[in-house]
Amino acid sequence: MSQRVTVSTRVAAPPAEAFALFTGEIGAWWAAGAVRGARFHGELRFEPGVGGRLLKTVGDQAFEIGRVKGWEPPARFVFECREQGEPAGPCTEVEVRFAAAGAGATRVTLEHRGFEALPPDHPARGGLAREALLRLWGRCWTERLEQAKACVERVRR
Amino acid sequence: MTQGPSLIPGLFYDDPNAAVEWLAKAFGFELRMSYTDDAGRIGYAELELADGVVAIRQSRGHSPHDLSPRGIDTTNTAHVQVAVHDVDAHHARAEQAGARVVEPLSDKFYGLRSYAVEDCEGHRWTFESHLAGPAPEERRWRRSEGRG
Repeated sequence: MSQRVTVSTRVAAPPAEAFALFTGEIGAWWAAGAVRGARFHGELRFEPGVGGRLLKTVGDQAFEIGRVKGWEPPARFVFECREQGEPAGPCTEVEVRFAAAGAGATRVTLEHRGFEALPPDHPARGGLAREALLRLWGRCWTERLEQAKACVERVRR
Repeated sequence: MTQGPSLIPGLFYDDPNAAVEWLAKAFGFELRMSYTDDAGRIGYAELELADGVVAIRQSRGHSPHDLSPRGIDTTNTAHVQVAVHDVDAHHARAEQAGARVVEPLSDKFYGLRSYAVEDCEGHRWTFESHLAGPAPEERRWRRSEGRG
């Protein structure tokens, strides 16, 4: 097992459509739930497929959040997760899973894991104790999933 | 920014991992959020049912006074009420999962059909649905008062 945050919600779209929206429109839902009071700016996009990058672009600057480690539409995708300014080396990873949940609906479960790999003074910890850090991420991802759910409903209306 | 509910009651469990699993199986709750330590033990979780959310907390996690009913002879100092779409189906599901029903399923004079039940660690819950029409007691009362 590992130190992990799990969040889950139900969205009103079948898995294939939910997968396409969560990956294709990642910037639209990621902007919610900025941690530590940081205001989100810039644009996000995936290079689809294993080995591709999750890129954040601000003006003419591009920053790699992480590499895609799993890409299995419509069931799941996995990527490394770094914040801007974090050093290379150990980082956490995020897996998003899609499971059919009744007619035209999908249960989306997001798992952010691997916090134990970060040394105590790693900038991604922000000086926080384990529980406080995980609690903050839990709230952040909850807000992001709420935002994603709203995005799915907007697109399908 | 979207927001969850503004009120989230929390319940203490000696074994939050088992509680999350049991509450899903018996009561139909779905995980909204959780986080774990190195050993995979849940430190905190939020479960949802329709638009309601309840928090699952580790007993004695932050204070020795945070107790599960299990360790104190199933003494309760709180009671959670949950509105469900079909309380008969919910009751059947809970019984099937081995939940201890402490107040049988019945129509109540105040227009609800409900039952009360203990969960895996002795927390008491009421699950209820609105009756389609007035309960027999209410019908009698309305007649006797010349209201119906």
